[in-house]
Parts: sequence; C-alpha cells; structure tokens
Amino acid sequence: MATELEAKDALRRKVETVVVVVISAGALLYMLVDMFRALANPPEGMSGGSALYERFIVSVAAICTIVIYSFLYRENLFYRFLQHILVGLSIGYGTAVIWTQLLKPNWWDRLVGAESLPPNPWWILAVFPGILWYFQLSRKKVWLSRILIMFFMGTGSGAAFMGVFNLLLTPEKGQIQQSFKPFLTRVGGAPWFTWTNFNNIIFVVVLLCVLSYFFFSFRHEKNPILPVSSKLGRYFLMICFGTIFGTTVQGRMTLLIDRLTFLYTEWLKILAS
Amino acid sequence: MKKPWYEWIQSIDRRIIYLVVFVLVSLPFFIPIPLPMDVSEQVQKLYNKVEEIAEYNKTAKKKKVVLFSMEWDPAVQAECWPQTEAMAEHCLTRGVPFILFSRWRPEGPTLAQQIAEKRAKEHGKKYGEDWVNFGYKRMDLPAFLAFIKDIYSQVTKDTEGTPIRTVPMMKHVESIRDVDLIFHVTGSVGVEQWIQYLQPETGVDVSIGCTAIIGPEMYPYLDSGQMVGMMEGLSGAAQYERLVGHLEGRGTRGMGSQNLAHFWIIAMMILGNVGYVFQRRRERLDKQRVEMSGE
Repeated sequence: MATELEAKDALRRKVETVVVVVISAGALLYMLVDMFRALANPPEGMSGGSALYERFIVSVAAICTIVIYSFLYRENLFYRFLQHILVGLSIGYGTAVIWTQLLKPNWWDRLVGAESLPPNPWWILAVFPGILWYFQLSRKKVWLSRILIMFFMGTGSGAAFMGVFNLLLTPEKGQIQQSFKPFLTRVGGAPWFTWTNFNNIIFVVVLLCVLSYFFFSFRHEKNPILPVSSKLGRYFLMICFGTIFGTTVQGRMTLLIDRLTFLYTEWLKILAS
Repeated sequence: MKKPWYEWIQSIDRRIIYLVVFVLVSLPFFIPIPLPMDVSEQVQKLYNKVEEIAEYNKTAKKKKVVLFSMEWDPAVQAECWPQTEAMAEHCLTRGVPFILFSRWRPEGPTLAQQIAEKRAKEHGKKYGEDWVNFGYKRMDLPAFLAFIKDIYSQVTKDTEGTPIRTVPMMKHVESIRDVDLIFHVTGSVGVEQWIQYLQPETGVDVSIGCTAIIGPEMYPYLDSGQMVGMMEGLSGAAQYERLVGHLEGRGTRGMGSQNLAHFWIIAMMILGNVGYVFQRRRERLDKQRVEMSGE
C-alpha cells in the first residue's frame, strides 16, 4: 500500500515537473520572440531599444502573474520567491516615498535651503521631538516618549471628536437625524402611506433590532421584547455579513478579470486593448 | 468503497473549481455574452450631479470643479481604474475641469494621470486647462484641516513642478468651496474624512468610487445624503460607462466574465449545501437505525 502511494506521488511529481518545464519554456520562448519582434518593428515614435525594454517589462509582469496564480495549484518555491520580492519592494518603495514626499520637501529642503527656499537652521530642532519616539526602546527612559504620545493623543482625540460629532449630528445630514424617518407622507394635505414609508419602517425596525442586540445593560431573558428583537438583530447582521462576503467574492473575481485582460491584451495580444 | 453522490459533491478538488472559473472568466473575452444591465440609483445620482455641474459650467465664467481623490494603487486597479476612467471621460467630454490628488496612495495620481492623458488625447483636451495633477501630498489630519482652510497653503506645485497658482485651470479655484464635488476612489476607507471635516464646513458634495468589498459600508452615507452617489466595484463602473454612452471600457468588458463566474460560484454553493443537507439526513437515519437495532 505504502509503495503504491509512493509510486503515485513520484508519478505526480514527474508530471508536475514536465508541466512546469513546458510552461516555462513556452513563456520564455514567447518572451524572446516578442522582444525580437519589438526590436525589429518598433511602434511609431519609439526606438527599437525602448520598444524592446517595454516588451521585456510586460513579459516579466505576465510571468509574475502566472507564478503568483500557481499558488492556486499548490504553494511552491517560485510563488514564495515572488512573495518575498513583493514584501521587499513594498518596504523599499515605502521608505523612498516617506523620504521624497514627506521628509525632504517638508523638512530637509527647508533646513538646507534647497528648491529655492532660504536655509533655515532652526528646522534642526524638529529632530529632537522626533528622537523622543525612539525612547520607547528603553525601559528606563520610556517616559520621554510618552511626552510626545501625550501631544499626539490630545490633538488626535480633539480632531476625532469633532469628526465623529460632524458625522453623526450635522444639521440635516447627520446620521442620527437621518435615522428619524417618517412613517406617513403628506399628499395634498392628507397623510398617505407610500413605498418610501414602507422602506422607512423596515429601516427603523432593522435599526432598533440591531441596536438591541448590542444592548448589554441588563439580562435579555427578563425583558419581554429584547429576546425577540436581539435575535432578529442577529439575523439582520448575518444578512449584512453575507452581503459583504458576496461583494468580497465579486472583488476577487474582478482582480482575476483584470489580470486575464492584461495577459490576453498586453502580453499575448490576442485581444484588442 | 464508492463515495455517495452527496459526499462527492462536497469534496470536489478545489483545483477543478478554479480551472472552471478560469475557463468561464476567459470565455466572454472571445465570445461576448450580452446580458441586460440596469443602472443603480446611486450611479445615476452621481452621473446627474456631474451633469448638473456641466450645465452650470456652460454659462458660468468661473467654472465648478471636481476633485478626484485618488486613493488607490495597482492592488485595486481592477475596479478603481475603470471607475476613474468613466468619470474622467464624463468630465472631459462635458467640460468639467478636474483635479487629481491623493493623500495616502502615491501611485493613485500617477495612474489617474495615465487615464486622463489617454482620454484627453481622444478629445483634444489639454493638461492645465481641463485637468491638473496635484500629485501625492502626504497629509495627516492637521495638514488636511489646513488644506480645507486654504488649498494653496498645502499644495504649491503640481506634478510637473509648475506653481499651482500659474496653472490656467486654477483660476476657477480660489478655495476648496469652488470644488463642487469630491470623487473619492478607494479600495479601503478615507472618504469619511471628507464627510467629517470638509462637508459640514463648506457643503461640498462627496461621492465615492469604491471596490465592491467596501461598498456595503457606504450605504449609510448614501442614505443620509452625506454622499451624493457611488460607483461600487466593476459593475458600478460598467453602469457609469453605459450612462456616459460612447465609452466601452474595462467595466463593460468585464461584466460578462463576472456574471459567468458568479453563476458558477452560486451553483457550487447550492451543490455544496444540498450535499451537506443530504449527508446530515443520511447520518440522522443511520443513527436512528443503530438506536432501533440496539433496542
């Protein structure tokens, strides 16, 4: 039995190796032919060298896409290699962005007087509060970093309070005001029940049921309404989570569609872009 | 022993399912599958808002502007690219100037610039007159609040290094109040800050183009009127492309693939659940049989 399984496993590995070799050889061959074609017949307004470079980049992107999707078959060495490259690139890119977009224009250029700004040595003082963050690494001097945290918490909380109150209580559009919806509409002076009112009733019922689910001030069992409303609230929440899960699937499919569009139009060129 | 059918359908190799997904998603690229598509209320409202601005701009000396808050990157470009493209096309063809800008995603304005250049080339529009790119301006909350008070205090040059005040289009924009619509495109969050800090002070309308995943979270804002409209996922972009009319972009093209893939996923979910129900029924019957034979 064991030898039979081992033999099956060995056969599977052989088949996998052959498939990987065939796909890799095919992709590399196509890449070379494509690049040669670009060099020989560059598009209008492009030199042979830049056309070749562009096709090389497209091919590398296409091969990376295929390797990343190989994870769907099984985790493998190539996939993990690209995963590590991606992590490294992200960190490197992030560091460069922080320097070029944040520190250099807002601090360094002002300090040394670059970009037609006059040099201002007072900007060196900005280094000292910045250094305070690093005292988090010291057990004895950690209190120094708390001075800075204090300022960040104060300003952050102040702005956040303002934001939350604006979101919930802005006149006319605040979330809380908009939760009060009419159950009847006045048509020609008389109250009337319309589809909008029906929707409003559903809205208010769902809102109250979900709120009651998160009401923990006293035991639900002893109340005549709360057990039913909180149970309904739970069901409404489950419907909401189901919707979010559905849209997540939709999003993932879109990613696949985008990658296939790229492979078919830009790499293989079997479809018009 | 051969597996009963209800166990078999619950244990189909996931690789077979993926292979079918791949085939079904690829199929509409080669054989178009025309399916009806309705425009949702939130997409229609967004379109109407841009139309309203376009109508105003026809006669106004000082034009109203749309600010594209491009908080997206290549990871979500599958959904955000067609949304941005549809909106850029609409603005360019209807004479609505727009600003490209990002606070969190450095790649956003770069990708949006490619879209704007591509669309502008077709319609003979010019950078600086019909749109301007502020680029990525890292702004935490205090800087953002300062931006709301005075745009020019935080943005001094565009991506080409031109001083913002000398860009011809910016003659229409003295302050953020001259922006009539924020179109925030994102794969995560961030739109709340426009609603929390900009809208109460200035009354500027806010809209969103978002990935399908975060779409459900946006409905409370649409319901309260804090957001005027939304493009949700690829389907939102496809609906907007339909409204714009002459644009058959990535959104419309991807809908056939998406529909087929969704049919397949729904079929698999139904099959899996049917198998599960039958298996439980079988187990219950077996248990009853054992109990009866024990008695």
